Amino acid sequence: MTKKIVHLVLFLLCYTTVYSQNSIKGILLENNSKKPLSNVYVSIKNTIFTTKTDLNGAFHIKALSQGNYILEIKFNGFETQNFPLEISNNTIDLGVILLFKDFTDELDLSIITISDDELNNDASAADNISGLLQASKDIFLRTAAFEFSSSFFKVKGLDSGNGKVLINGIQMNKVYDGRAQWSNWGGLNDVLRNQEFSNGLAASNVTFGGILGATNMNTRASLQRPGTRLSYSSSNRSYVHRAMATHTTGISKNGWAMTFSASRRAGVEGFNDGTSYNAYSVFTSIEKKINDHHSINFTGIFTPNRRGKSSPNTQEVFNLKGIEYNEYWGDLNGRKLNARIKEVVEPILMLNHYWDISKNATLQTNASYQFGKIGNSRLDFNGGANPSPTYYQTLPSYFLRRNDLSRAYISQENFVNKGQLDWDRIFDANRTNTNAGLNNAYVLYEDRNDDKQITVNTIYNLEINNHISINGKVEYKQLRSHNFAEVIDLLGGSGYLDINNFADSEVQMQNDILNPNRVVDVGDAFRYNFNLKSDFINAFAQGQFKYNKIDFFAAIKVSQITNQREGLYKNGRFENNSLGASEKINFTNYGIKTGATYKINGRNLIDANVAYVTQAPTIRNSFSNSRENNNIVEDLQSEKVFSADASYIRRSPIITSRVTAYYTSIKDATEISFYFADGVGGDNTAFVQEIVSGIKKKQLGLEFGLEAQVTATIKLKGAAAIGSFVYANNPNLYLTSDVTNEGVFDENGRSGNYRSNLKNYKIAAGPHQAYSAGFEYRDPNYWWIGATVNFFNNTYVDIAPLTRSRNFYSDADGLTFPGYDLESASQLLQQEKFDAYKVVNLVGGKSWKIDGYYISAFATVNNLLNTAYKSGGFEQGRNANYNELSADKALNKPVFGNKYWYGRGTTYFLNLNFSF
Amino acid sequence: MNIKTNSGLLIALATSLFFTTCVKDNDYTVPQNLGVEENLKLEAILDSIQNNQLELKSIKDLKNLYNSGTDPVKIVSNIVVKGYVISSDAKGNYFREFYIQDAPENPTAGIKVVLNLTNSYNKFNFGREVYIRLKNLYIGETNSGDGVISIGGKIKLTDITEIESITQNQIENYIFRAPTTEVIVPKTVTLGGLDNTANIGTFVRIENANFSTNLAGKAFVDPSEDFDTKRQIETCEGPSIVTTFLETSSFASFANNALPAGGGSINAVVSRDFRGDFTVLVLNNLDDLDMKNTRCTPLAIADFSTILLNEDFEATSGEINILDWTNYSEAGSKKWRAYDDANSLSKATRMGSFRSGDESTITWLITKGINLETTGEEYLSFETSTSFADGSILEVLISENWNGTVANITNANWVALPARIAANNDDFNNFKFSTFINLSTYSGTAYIAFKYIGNGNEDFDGTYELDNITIIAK
Repeated sequence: MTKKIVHLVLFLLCYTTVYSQNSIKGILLENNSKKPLSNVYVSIKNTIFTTKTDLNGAFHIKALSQGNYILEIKFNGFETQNFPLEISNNTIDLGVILLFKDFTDELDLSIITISDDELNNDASAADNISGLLQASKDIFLRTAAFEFSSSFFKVKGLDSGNGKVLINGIQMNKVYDGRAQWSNWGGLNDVLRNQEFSNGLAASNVTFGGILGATNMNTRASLQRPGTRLSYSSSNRSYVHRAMATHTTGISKNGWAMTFSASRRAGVEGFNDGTSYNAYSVFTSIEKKINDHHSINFTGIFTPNRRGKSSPNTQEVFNLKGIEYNEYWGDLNGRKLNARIKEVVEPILMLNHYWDISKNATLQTNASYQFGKIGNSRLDFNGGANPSPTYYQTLPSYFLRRNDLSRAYISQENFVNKGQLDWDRIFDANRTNTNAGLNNAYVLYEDRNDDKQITVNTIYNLEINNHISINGKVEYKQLRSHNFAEVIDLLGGSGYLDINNFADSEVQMQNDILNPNRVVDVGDAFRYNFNLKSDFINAFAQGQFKYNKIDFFAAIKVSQITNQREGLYKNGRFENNSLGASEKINFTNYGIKTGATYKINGRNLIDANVAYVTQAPTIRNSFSNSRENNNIVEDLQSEKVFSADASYIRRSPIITSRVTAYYTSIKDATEISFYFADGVGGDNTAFVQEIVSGIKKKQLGLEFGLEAQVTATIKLKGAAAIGSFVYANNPNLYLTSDVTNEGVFDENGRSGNYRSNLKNYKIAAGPHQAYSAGFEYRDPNYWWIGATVNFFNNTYVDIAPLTRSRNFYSDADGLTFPGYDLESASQLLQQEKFDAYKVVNLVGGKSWKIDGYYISAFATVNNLLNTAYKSGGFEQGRNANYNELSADKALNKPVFGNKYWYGRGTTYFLNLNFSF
Repeated sequence: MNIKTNSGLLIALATSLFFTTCVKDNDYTVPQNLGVEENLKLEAILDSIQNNQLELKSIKDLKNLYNSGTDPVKIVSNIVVKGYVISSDAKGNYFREFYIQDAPENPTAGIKVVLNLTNSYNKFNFGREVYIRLKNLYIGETNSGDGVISIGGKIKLTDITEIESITQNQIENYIFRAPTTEVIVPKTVTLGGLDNTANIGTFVRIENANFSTNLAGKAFVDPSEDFDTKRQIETCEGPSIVTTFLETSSFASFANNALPAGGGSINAVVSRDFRGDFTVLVLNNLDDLDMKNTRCTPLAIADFSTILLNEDFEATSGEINILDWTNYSEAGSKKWRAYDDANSLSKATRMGSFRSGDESTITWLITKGINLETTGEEYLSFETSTSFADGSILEVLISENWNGTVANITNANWVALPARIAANNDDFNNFKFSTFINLSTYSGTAYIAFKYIGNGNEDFDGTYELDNITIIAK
């Protein structure tokens, strides 16, 4: 910092001369090598004036009006420099400006580490936003990404699908569920640093964005920092080792620029037992500058990765086995082998054309093709006992419920001493069956989504004058998704019979009547098999206006989507509506948003935004039971989202702070869940799909962030999020099942209509309140440390909607259960609120420069005090009525108690970085 | 790219490759040591049997430790029982139980094992040789008095007269598999002889059977039944139809399949229904039914005009003493005696050793010699009833080589005939018809014997009543 000021003063003294024209120029060189830096963005803050340095590192901004400005020089991987300038009919030549490599960006490594850790989890509680926020410099958002994310904190209480992730202007959020699949570009941290983040409703040049904002990652080779970078990391969170190498050529004389990156992440297990990690990443970006107006860039991303998942558990299990416990692994041939592995192999190929039509207009045209597979492995056992070591009949609670103390004790001993998947028994069962000429008892298979997605779009930017710019975009996206189950391994057996044992008749047992009683082998599809087709067109237009006192923008988008399912199997439970194409689901949607920033003065700003967006339901929430039939959710509606926020921002030399109040309401949301329900319509048990529609949610709260540079070396930081996220109505609910004419189900397997009394229940969106306070010390000798204390409160369990409907108190005949007691019922239905907790994190690093080589080391320790805390959880759907639930909750250890995820205990992350 | 960069990348690549070897997350090789530990345990047991540290008991002897309806017996001595699995829960027709019998072929006894394990078929597979260490396990019934003697893990908490499962945790310390799986040959029995308690827990074959006519079009399970459904099956025994039940669980995967309309053979495990009232057959899977042939029709009774034997005991009194008949007490002091039956209001004969004070009781009532050479087809029938048969047994036997002398009774070759004989849980008021027993396979002069066998403890011996012994022929 001090160094910068010295430079600035020097330059101003030497080069400030009076000319007749208002302009600014200068040359940017890399401090160490003294080589010119090209393609560096130079902008005048709060105006639309932006330029880039040429091959010689020179820039020149012309046609400025008189006034005071701040010139900003921003380049990825270098320290940002700001020059306050006063211009009155002169040209300011800043001469040679040296840019210094920024060591603080090593921090990003750990953030991406968080993303690596959490973002690939399927469970909703692990829906993590940190990846989206990593590019932000805002203290609150950085705190949310850094300190809050391991608690599954959700910004504004919203699902991560509300944040859009783009690579080179192409939205990467999955059509299926709206969320970004971070593992598609995991392990490529070095080459994905070039990110632009627009927070919340703020304008982005490339997209309308989501309610939470948008991040656009730019992989253009000419914008990558030239040089070579090697790093090694070690951690006990998810992977154990990470090695990464990146090389960028910089732009050559004949207009070629290239970047290559490769990494490997691996570990036998992370914090949770048996969570293996096995990932490779390869990246290439090649740019050819055809002339001053045209550039073409090719990007290829290939990141095959496999990760062992970990299980949510009941409190009973955690108490016996600890918070690291994971039921999915077992010992096979002396190794921990996880049965539930998520494998993602989805290469991305992208071609981008950059056209500088004129000085003020650009057109970027992008095409991307992504293909490959996502596989989630698991065991199926239509010929064997449930292999889960936490199957309820094996746990002490099951025996305690029957008052069998001796067996409760034995089962506890057994669970504590073993309590893992018994691979040997699984193999033995299959071998035994093979020897007896029978089909497999068990099989290992994966649920597959094989997607092929093509996206083509073009983005137009025009600066009409100093104050007004216009952005526009049109896009077409096509998804063809093949979904099926595939046998991975026969586990010592000879073949697996593709039937559903729970069905009543021979025909109903068939998963595909056209191939009855099929015995499947490795690589065969079975269970279910269908295609999803989605076609999406989308247009976006935006105007941005920047003036001295006020900036404002307005944006609009219109989209049209068509979704369709095509069944490839004729399912025995749904003979008439499983094979062939479903009806097409069409939705036309639009969104409008506008916002303004009023500059009271340079240090105090007020910002306000408002948006109204309609969103087509995701494919996941459109087909009620897509694996088995073509049924579309009844009365399917677009979600209507209204969101508004207002902020006060203060920027003084010492203090930077922001406080924001926000309100978001979501109407007509649809949610589908799948579970095994006991007590549906009396005492029946069934595997059900629960469709809740017309949900209204209300999220309101405050965000606060503050940074105080109290001395040149010490910075204090504070952040707070205080939210209230609730259901705002009592939505409709119905169940479907492949059980017909039993309990509540009619001949089509549909239940009657229920209303779920959700109003005022809390939304399970991580902690509704999160606070952080900490400091950073940066020694002039290039080392630094920091510490934060974080406090979390008001985390709630995800409630089961069915138990909040009349099914809860009605017997099969529709009458209220005898002995139904309103008071104890309301106690049973109270939403569990987790204990508040405190987490302390440490961070520190040092960098060295030796002969033009930069070496940096960086370490974090998370949850220093090893606090055990619940980060999320859900109610099991197995006790759907009063009798079942009260019987279970009356026990000291409920058999079907809530399931939880625990946060990690003390973990470390260590990174060594070498660049030249 | 300069040399420095290249070498850097090479180092990184080398490091990467090094890590590659660490994570074997998809190696599903069949474990090499599968079953090794189990075999060692089994060998230890076999050694202990050799060294007489463990006693190998037959299933028959084991069952004798327990009397139906009494409290479970805890095994406290070091005994082991060996058997062959003859049931399979693969199709869901058994739930947490399997049956073992004492030999792969021609079994003499079988027993049920109740255990807390679903899909036990993929561990204790059909035909598998198993050894059960019995010390600290229980012999008893899961439904007191149902007559299905079982091995269990403990006394039921809610009913001290019954036993419940061997837990999953107990299984590996008590039940041991031998590597061998034998081919189980079903023992062919007639429905008439099915009720013999020795058949319970064995794998049998009934030939020329069909389901009752009134079941046409029905499924194995009646939708209104929550648990088990009994479906009547029939065979033709000479001039009559003999019936019994096939019992199927509503959880069986074939529960809703239609019953076969034709006739043929049934292979099944013999058991008793839930209340212990009926002997039932239980299927392992539908392959055990081969009923595509024609249904049987009984022979016309009018054709059997020749009466080779007809004894109604009306002319008897005191100890039975009929010309050419033998009333012989092989052990104990009691003999067959005539009495007036209050229910049938006629005379009959009976035999019982209750409170006899005798250590052991075996008493024979043997008919006169019957010449089977003059007729082509002969059927024996008789009636029995019982009062507290408990542990005592009545057998009906035939001999072609007995010479008629008392001294030679035990030396002669006696073959058990498949007859329905009243049992402990039959109504004591009623006489039970034996069914017609085909004697066509016998020749020369044959003798029919009714052999009463006490169980060695006269307190548990009851009384058998016998009447109306006839042999018709054509």
